[in-house]
Parts: sequence; structure tokens; C-alpha cells
Amino acid sequence: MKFIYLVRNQFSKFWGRELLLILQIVAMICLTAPVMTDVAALLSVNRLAEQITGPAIFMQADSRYLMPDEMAPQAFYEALSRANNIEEVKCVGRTADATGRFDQQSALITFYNPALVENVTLPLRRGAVYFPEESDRIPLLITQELAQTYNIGDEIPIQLYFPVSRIYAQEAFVVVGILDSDGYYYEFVGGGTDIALNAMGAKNSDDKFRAIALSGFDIVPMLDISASCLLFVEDDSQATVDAVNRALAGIGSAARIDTMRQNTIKAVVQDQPLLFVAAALMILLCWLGTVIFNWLNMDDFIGRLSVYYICGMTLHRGFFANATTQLIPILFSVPISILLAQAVPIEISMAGIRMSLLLILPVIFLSILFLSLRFRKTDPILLLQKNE
Amino acid sequence: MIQLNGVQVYYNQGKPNEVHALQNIHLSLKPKDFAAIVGPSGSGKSTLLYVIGGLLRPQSGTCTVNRNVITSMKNKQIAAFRNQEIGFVLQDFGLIRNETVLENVMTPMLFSREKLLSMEKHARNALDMLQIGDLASRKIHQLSGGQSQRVAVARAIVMDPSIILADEPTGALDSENAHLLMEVFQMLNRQGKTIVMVTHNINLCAWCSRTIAISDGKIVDDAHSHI
Repeated sequence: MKFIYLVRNQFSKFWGRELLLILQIVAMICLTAPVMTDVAALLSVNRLAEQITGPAIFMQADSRYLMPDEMAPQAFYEALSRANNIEEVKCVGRTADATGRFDQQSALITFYNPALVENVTLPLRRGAVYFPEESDRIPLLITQELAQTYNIGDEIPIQLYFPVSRIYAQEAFVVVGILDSDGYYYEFVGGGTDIALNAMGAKNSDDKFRAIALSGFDIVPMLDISASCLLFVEDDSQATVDAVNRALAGIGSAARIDTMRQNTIKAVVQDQPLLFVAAALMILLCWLGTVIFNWLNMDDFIGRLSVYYICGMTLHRGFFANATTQLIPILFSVPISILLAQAVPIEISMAGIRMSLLLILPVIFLSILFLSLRFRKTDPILLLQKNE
Repeated sequence: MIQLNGVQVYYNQGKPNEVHALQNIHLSLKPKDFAAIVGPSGSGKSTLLYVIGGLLRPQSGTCTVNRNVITSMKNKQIAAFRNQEIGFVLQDFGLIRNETVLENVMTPMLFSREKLLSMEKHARNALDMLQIGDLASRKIHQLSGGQSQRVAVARAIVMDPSIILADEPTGALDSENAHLLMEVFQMLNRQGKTIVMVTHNINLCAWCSRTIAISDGKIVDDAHSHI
């Protein structure tokens, strides 16, 4: 209680300075989150690229969020089918996701098709991916969080929602492996996820259990790649890329993954140059604002430091109290930023928001560094000696 | 009981601007002493006060206060010692200007085991003792110099320490307020507190039972008197 009292006494009048810092941080997060959303997508592609075992071409369609208005899913599937039928393409790697119910909670399940499972090294902690021919259970990889409850071999009944038929149907899943990272989740969605789910996840297709489901029952951070597929090919030469692009006939565009990375970097800057510049300026402004805030805050505190010191405060406690005063507005800005970033009228993913929140780390680092430097130079005796 | 043995303090030791602030000081102060430390500027009198108060660690020698060898204590222990055993009164009052009188007087209790709820009661008692209870809700910048110094004294006694160290306490006061402050010190001394006061003003020595003169970091005179 006393520590809280001590910290509270250090806040500025009417919290003006602290509110200004919070506003700066929130503005920085809200402005950078759209840019970071693209960067997060790029990073997820990078991560994926390292795990693909053979040559592959990345195919992007228009944003899936816009697709229902601009393009019929059927047109997309036809284009994808044409690409799949050309000689150079071996198979198409795809994902789909579904909502469901599990242990009276809502659940999110991502399905990986066999091509993806065969051509991408899934980072597993334990277990192995397999395709049981006779089993009537869908093999499932679970996150480490769920691994605290379930073991490999356990059966988990999940009610999956099938939007086309608008029904919940209970499916039996069996745990076959545990993911190495809870954050592992690639989303390649081509066309509507609903249709993809009915085609891939349901058991009424010719092939049994073509999908591997990755579970994300609570929160699995999504590394969101916009409407996309991986085309696994014999070789990823320019001729193959051109052939795929001809087959797609303008529905989407295919490129080697490294080209796609470069394009994404350019897109981050070129698509929204004003936003990019504003975000960069806001980062600088926020960092500068933090230094000014720290300076003023420390100035106030140094005025009190000699008083506190003669009254029995250790310098360590003083440092801790002042650091807390500085960190509280920074930490306070985090939930506000998350809430407001989602209200920004630009497409923002949680991965983008999380990456933007990382920009707070330099703010915290600056605060602690600045405080340490000024504390090191501060001698309460010198402050008192002005009397002599 | 305050006992200093062979205390040496250097500032900027090993540098071209090294100052030997205290040179082999041996000093003993009894409980209930009211001592004035006098000397010219830069003679080391405030440094001596800081050593006694545990604010400054001498490079050599020992300082024992109420059986606590503070020169061998850890920082946390010294901080607790300052909090419990010493009350400081400074020339420029050492008050937090944008806080109220009550909040200022409560400050030492923030670093003690005193419960937050009882802090205010103790602070009000200290203010009443110095007859400034009616100023409790005023901000420091609304007070006169004499009132501010009384608040500083109230803060110094709120933890009921056995020793009060005053560094030029009348330096910012007119003669009337200086006189009133010395009456307060005398009252506290009669109540059993040891008071060590650094001063330039030789007239104030008349209030004290002992006058220690210091020059160039050495004690050059130590006179006892009965008041």
C-alpha cells in the first residue's frame, strides 16, 4: 500500500504527462499495426519457406476478405484446378479452418490437406503424422497447452460446424502428435473457408481422411497469409511459374517464394506510403516523447530523492519506485492499444497487433536505460551539499 | 551515544581535485547532548553531520550511533537506521513543495513499518506538538520560512528518533524565527533527544551545551557549557 502511495505521489498533476505518453503509444500502435500486419504475413511466409521440403510456388489470389464480392469461389476453384492439371505441378497444398465445439468451448480447427502434410515439415515435439486407412477418426495435432490434458492416442470428440448445411456434426479426432510451438499455424485459404471445409474435412469424399487437423481450441495465434495456395512442383523455374500463371488466367498470381517475399516487402511500403511514413514518424515521436517524459519524471523525482533518502529510503527502492511510475502508463497503454487497433478501418491481424506491441519494448528499454543513467549520476549527498 | 573514531573522509579521492574533508576525527557525544558544530565554509562540518547520520560512508574509521556501528552496515540497514534513529533538519527545509504539510510529515513513515492508516495520526501529533496543526492541509509553497522549518522539524521527530541532526537550520530564517526554532530544539532536547546542529551563527552556540569547532577537517576546539 505504501509503495502504491509512493508511486502515486510521483504522477504529474491531473496525470497530464502520463496521459500524453499513453496517447503517443496508442497512436504508435494503431498506426503501425496495419503495416505490421503485412510484415507479419511476410515473416510467416519466411518461416513456411524454411519448412517446405521441395520446390514450390506460392500462389496468391485476391484477398479472401474481398473475394465474395469480386470473384465467385467457383471461378477460383476452376483456376486452381487448371493450375493443378498442368504437368509441372505435382500437387496443391492447402488449408482450411473450421469452427466447432469442444468441452463446451468454441474451437478452431485448421485442416491441412495431405499434399501439405507430405511436403512441409511440421514442427512436432512428439508423435508423428500418419494416415490411418481403416480408422474412422481424424488424426489431430494438438498444441502444447492441450497436451497438458490429452496424450497421443486419446480420442477427442469435436462438434464441427458445416456452414453449407448449417449443422453441427460430431466428428471423432485422435491425437497423433504434439506441436513444438503453440504459435504454429499457417493459413492458406483459397476461396471461402466454408466450402473448402465441406470438401476437405467431411468424410463423404472418396478418399478417407484426407485432412490432418491442427487444433487451436483456445487461442492459436494465426500467422495470416492472404488467400493462397502452395503449388508443389518438379522445379520452380520461371517457365513453370509462367505456365501456372497462364493457367490461373488472372484469377491470382503465382511466384517463387523468394519473389513473393520481395513483392511483399515492396507492397508493405508501396501500398500505403502515407500510412508507412506516418507510422515511422509516430514511432520516432513516441520514442522521443518517452525520453522527454522520463526526463521530466526524473527531474521531479530528483527533487524528492534527497528528501526520501534522508527519511530512510534506499536508492534501490527509489529506482524501483521511479521505474514503476514510468512503466505504469506504458503498460496501461497496451490494452487500450489492442482495443483501438481493432477499430482501425484497415485490415489488421492479431499477428500485426502483436508485432506492433513489440515496439513498446524499446520504449520500456529507453525508460529503464534513461533512468539508470540518470540514477547513476545522481548523488543524494551532492543534492544536500548545496547547503554547505 | 555517538562515537567517531579515526574518521577520514575524502571527496574525489585519487583525483587532482581531491579534498580531505575530515581528518582523523575522534568525537564522542553523549545522549541528550545539544551540540553545535561551528566552523568556516568548507571546513567539513556538514560532512561530519552526514557521517553521523549514515548519509556518507567514511573511507576509514568507525562511527557508532546508539550501539550501531553504521560504518559497517549494509545500505539497507543504514537506510533503516536513518529512518528509525535520526531526524534531519536542513537549511532549505528539504520539503516537497507541491505536497501538503501533512504529506511531508508523513514521508519518513513511508519507509517504516508504520501502517498507512495510522501514519496520518502520528503526523498530526507531531504537527500539534509544534503548534502548527492548523497548517496540515496547506501546501509547502503557501508557508513562510519559519513555518516551513517547523514542518521540517515535525518531519524530523515524527518517527520519534533519539537524535536530531540539523544542518544550518536557521540559515534561511530571520532572527525572530531563528529564536523560535532554537526554543523548539531546546524543548526537544529537554525531552531527551540528542541534537547536533551545524551552524555558521556563533550566537546560536549559547543555546547549546557543547560547541565543537572544526577547521580544515579537524576538530580544533570542543567546549562544554551548562545552560
